[in-house]
Parts: sequence; structure tokens; C-alpha cells
Amino acid sequence: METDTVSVLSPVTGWICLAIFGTAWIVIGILLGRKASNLEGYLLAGRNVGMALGAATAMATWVTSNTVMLAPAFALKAGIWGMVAYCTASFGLFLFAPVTKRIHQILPKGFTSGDFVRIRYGRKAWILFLVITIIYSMAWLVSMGIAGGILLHDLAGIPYVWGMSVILFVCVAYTLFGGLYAVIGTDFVQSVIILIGVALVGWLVIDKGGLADSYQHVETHSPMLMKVMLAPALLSLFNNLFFGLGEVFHNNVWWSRAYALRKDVAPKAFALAGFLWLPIPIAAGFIALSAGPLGINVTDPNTAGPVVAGNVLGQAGAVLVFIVVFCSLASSVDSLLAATSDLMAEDIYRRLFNPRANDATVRKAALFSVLGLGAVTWMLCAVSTQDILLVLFLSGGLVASTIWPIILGLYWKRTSREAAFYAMLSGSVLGVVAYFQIGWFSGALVGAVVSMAVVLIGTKLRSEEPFDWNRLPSEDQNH
Amino acid sequence: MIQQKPVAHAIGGIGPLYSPPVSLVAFCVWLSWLFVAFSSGVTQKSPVFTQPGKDARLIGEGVLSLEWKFEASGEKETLQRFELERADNPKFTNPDTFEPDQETAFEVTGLKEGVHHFRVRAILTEGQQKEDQPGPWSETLTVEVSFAPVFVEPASSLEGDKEDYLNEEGIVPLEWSYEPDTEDRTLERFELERARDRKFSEPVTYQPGLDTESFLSGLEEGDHFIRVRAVFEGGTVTPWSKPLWVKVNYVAWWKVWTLMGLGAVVFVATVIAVILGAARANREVPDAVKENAG
Repeated sequence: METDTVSVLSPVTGWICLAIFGTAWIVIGILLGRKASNLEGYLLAGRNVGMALGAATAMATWVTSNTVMLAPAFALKAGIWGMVAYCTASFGLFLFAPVTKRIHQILPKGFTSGDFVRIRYGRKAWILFLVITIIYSMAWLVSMGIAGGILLHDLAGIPYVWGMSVILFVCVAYTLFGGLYAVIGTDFVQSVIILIGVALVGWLVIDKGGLADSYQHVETHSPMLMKVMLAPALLSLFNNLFFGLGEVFHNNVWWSRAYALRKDVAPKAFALAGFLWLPIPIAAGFIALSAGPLGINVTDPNTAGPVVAGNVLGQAGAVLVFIVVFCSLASSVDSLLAATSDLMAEDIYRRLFNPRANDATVRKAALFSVLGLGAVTWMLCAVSTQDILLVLFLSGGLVASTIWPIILGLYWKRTSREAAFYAMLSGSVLGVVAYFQIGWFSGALVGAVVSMAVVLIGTKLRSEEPFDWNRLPSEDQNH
Repeated sequence: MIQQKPVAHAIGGIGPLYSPPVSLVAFCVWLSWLFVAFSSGVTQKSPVFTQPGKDARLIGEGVLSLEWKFEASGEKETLQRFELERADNPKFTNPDTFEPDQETAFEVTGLKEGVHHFRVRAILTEGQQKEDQPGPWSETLTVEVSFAPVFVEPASSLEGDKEDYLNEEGIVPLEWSYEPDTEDRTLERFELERARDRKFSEPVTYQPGLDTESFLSGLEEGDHFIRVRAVFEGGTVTPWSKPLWVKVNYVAWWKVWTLMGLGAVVFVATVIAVILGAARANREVPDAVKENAG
């Protein structure tokens, strides 16, 4: 006899929620997209985003389906340290906050993170950087598509392919019509829903389950989760931290927001987003740890958080969880679609294939990039349902290898171009090797360590001409 | 006068031996009986079940592997095939018949819960004879089949001399299958137990409900044994499954401290780099920015 986990919501309720919110996001996207009259408007929301929208979009983008799924999984696998480890991802936002000021200072008219790497480190490092960021962005996008399909199936019984397809379709549609205006506008609404929803769900679960009961149950059934000396949990601490730092420091999702936010607002908005995001993994993790005392069997740690919350809170609560999950998925998928399509249009299409392209052509290329990315992501999600952790953590070494070249390149003119290239290359390669040879908890950590050592030693050993800061704004304006 | 004893009495071999003529007749009759007995196959050997043991109890999903041994009693005998029978009664009324050919092993599938009786015999031909000569049936093997859940992920081995699952993180994703046979019982839930010894002396109980999957985490270093059973409405239960042997070996501490030390150094260096960079940012700016600031 095959017994299967029963969905919390009926598929009809799930489809109604999807229809209502999917339509709402598309309508908001189309309305806000009218403001995008030129390329800057479409790609960077006119470079005039304020504090509230800025903090909201950064926070909502960082609350991904991975937060909803992996934070509870971390808590279930690594206990208290697991929750702390996941929280360290907010350090990326905290440390990037002062960096946004520098970005505005040296690249006031920049479009992408690739712009900086190309001008600062040259073509060789730029192409390697593009390879890293495209691999990571696709892994992130695919992992979210997969997560979305699985979550909608587990919560409402919606078939995996249908759930995943609807999420991707909705996000592609409003990103296509509205560009970054639509993304930031919907992110604001979504962040408000996520914040209220997570706080409410967390409080209700604590109220129902009880902290004492949860502690007692975990102590008996999973004793190591409460121990300080849990080896894999300790290992995940710095690995997760460098993964988060690498993601934020290199990816165009964050650079495009840095460009889009007003200069005086960007650092504060990123710092505030970090503080708003910080408690979310703890709440999500605690919800998962409440499963045992509440009599809920965990079959898949990746979906434990939403399924536990949905089961505990009844139909109304389950609808709330469904909406929060949908918002967290959409807020990240749209950001990645927009930022990665910018990178493809600006860095790949204009810089590699058509240097004479005007803004209208580049905008058209961005539209096609959104569509193409959506289609490729859909295909990869349709054929692959492999472990989300594997897809995501494999790219940890790659992104962590960019942290030091980015920081040193932004602030120190003597940072060597060759050293930066080899730092990213060796960090990426050894990060991936470590992932397979040492364990999943070492990829990003090794990538960061190796990259730092190579860029520092390489710069010390090589005597290159100091970088002329005037090249950044002047070459950047040569569109 | 010598009274003669009835021959019939003498055939039994207990007649008086003082009558030579009668004894001779009895001896001849006895020889004839021996000849007839051998030629009719009364002493022919029957197969002997070797697997499972006598009065076996099968806990699983209704799949039984049978093995037997057989030696033909004469050089002229040729084994044609074996004939295997199963019945739910010891008299083998309405038996199921299986033909394992000349193999001395056979896997019977689809067994229902309850007591099953098995017997096997060899079908032989002798010399130039073309007709099959069925040998005697083996002793009856009685097997009681009780359905219990079976771990499929990780799968529990039958040998039990090596762990079924080795893990560095203290986690075990579990999946089992269960095919209840009886229709008069309603499955209420599964019950999962974990213990540090094979005897399950101090078990910790988990309640996976009706799911056939579960996920255990936070296990202490060392051996763990896990078993599952089904609980029906009214409180009846299946036997426990074969225990799953899980060994948790956490990552070596030297590796943990090495990686953590490296991580701490790089993190502190990163924070210092950003702070120092931000502090000196105004010194290294493009001229255009300086002009605007001025």
C-alpha cells in the first residue's frame, strides 16, 4: 500500500490563490511598467528608488524559496547552529551596504556588475566572471522553480509541472512588461505580505506547539540538534556566510538595486533589509522544529516549514502560508529574471556581439533575454527535480571566489588584474573540488579562502600599473 | 508328528527356525519382498528442505525463497524435474503446484498472510524407461507468513554483519513499503522505533502517521537500530520489520577546526577590508566625482 502525504489545501483553493495573486502581480507589473520610458527606466527603475521601496525589494529578494525551504531544513539537520548558519546570509546585505556607496561613487552610470569587472579587470576576468555569474544565476533560478513546484504540490496538491510553470509564467510576464519598476513595485507588496505572514505564522505555531514541548521533543528524538558541538552544523556556519557574501557581492541582482537606489538611500536600505531579513530564518527554522511535538511527520526536510505551518494553522492559516510562499518565490524569481536579463543584454549582447547597439536595441535584447531565461529555466525545472541543496551549494565555491576580487577592486587601485582573474579561477575550481572531496559544507569556504590568498599574494608579487579610477565612469558612459 | 506353522506367520520372520523347509520358504519370500520393494521405489530418497528452516516464520511482503537438496538413489535414475506444492492445509487439499524445473531453489511470490505448507518431490526416469516416475514427497515444510513493513530506503540487508547506512551528519531519510493483505483490518498508523542496540532495550518512538517515509536527524555518534511496524484499528499490530542498522560517524574534529579557523580568519579579514575600504574611499575617487563633490 502506498501512503502519501496529504496536501494541506485542496487543489481548487491553491489554484484560486494562484489565479488571484498571479493576476495581481501581472496587473501591477503592467501599470508600473508604463513609467519605463527608456532603457534606464526599464533596467534600473530610473535610478531613483527611495528608502521604503529599496529596503523592501532587497529584503523580499533575499527571502527566496530557498529561505522558506532551506532554513527549516537547516534547523532540522543542524539544529540551533543550523538556524544561526542560515542567518549569516544577512551579513551579505550588511557588508554590501557600505559597498553600494562606493559603487555610486565610481560607477554613477553603471548598469551591471559585469560593467565594473570588465573595466576594472579587463576582458579575461570579465568573461570568467560572466561564466560564474550565469552558472550561479541559472542554478538559483532553477532551484527556485523546482522549489516552487514542490512547495505548491505539497501545500495544495497542484501537480509539480503545473505549479512550477505558473510561477515562472507569472514572473516572466510582469518582468517582461514592467522591467525593474515592476519588480521593485511587486517586491514591496510581497515583502509586506512576507513580513506579516512569517511573523503571524511563527507566533501561531509557537502558541500552539509551545517552546518547552519542542525543546523536550527535540532533546529526546534528535539530541544532537541541541548540542553546541555538532560538527556539520559548525562547518555550515562559515560556508553559508561566504556563500551569502559571494551571492550579494557579485550578483547583478544586488548591483542593479545598488544602481537603482538613490545614492544617499542605498547603504541604509541594504542595512535595513538585512535587519528585516535576519529573524525570518529563525522563525522558519523554529516552525520546522515544532513538527515533532505537534505530531507532524517530516518526510522531506526541504518542505517541512511550510507543510508544518499549513498543518498546524488549519485551512485559513494554510492559505496564508501558501500566499507567503508564492510571494517569496515571485519576489526572487522576478529579481533574478530582471537582473540576469540585464546582464545578458548589456554585457553579452552589447559588449560581446553588437557594440554599436543603441538603447532601443538593447531594451529589445533584454526583453528577449527575459523570455529566453524563462524558457530555459522551465525546461531545466521540467527535467530535473534533483536535490535543491546540490544545485545551489555546488555554485557556492564559484560565487565565494568573487568576494575578494570585488572588494579589493572597488577600493584599492593596486589590485592586480591577473591576480583577480586567477583568484576567481582557482577559488572556483578548488571550491567545487572541495565540495565533492570534503563535503557540501566546504565549497564556498574553500572558494573564499583560496581566492583571498591568491589575489593578495598575486597583487603583492606582480607589479602592475595602478588602476586609474577615471576609467570607470568614462568607459562606463561609452554605451 | 510335526505341526507346521502357517506360512503367513513365518513370513513375519518370527516363526520357529527349527523347521528347515518352512524357514527356507520364508527366506525366499523375504528376498522376493525386498526385490519388489526396491523395484517399486519405496526406499527412493526424497528431497530435503534446507531453506528456510523448519517451522519458519516469514516477516516481509509475501516473498519466500525455498531451497532443498536432493540426491538420486541410483546411477540409472535421471532427474527430470521437481514438483513443488503449496497448500494452506497439511493434507494438501487443492494445492498450488509449481515446477522449478531441475533447480533446487524457487522463489514463491504473492503469499498471503497465514500458515503455508510446502512439499517437494523429484520426478525421475530410470534406465530406458520413458515414463516419469514421481519420487516420494519431502517432509512438509510449514511457514507462517506475517506481513510487516520493509525498509526500502535505505534498504536493510539480510546478513546484518555490516551497517546498512553510514552517515556523517546524523541524519537518516527513511522509506518503507507495506502491502497489507487482509481486508478486514484498517491501517491506523505506522510506529517507528530507534534504539542504540539490536535488542531495542531503550527505544525512542516516532509516530509517522500513515506516511511511508520519515526523516530522522540529530542522531548521536555511533550505532542506531531502526524498525517499523503497522498498527491497525483496534490495536493489533504487525511484527516489527527487520531492523535497519545505521552508523553515524561525524566529520573528524581536526577537519572541523581547520575549516572553521580558516573561515574565521577570512571573515574577519573581509570585514576589515570593507571597513578600511569604505574609510579610504574618498581618497581614491575619479576626478569627475571629486569635481562634483568640490
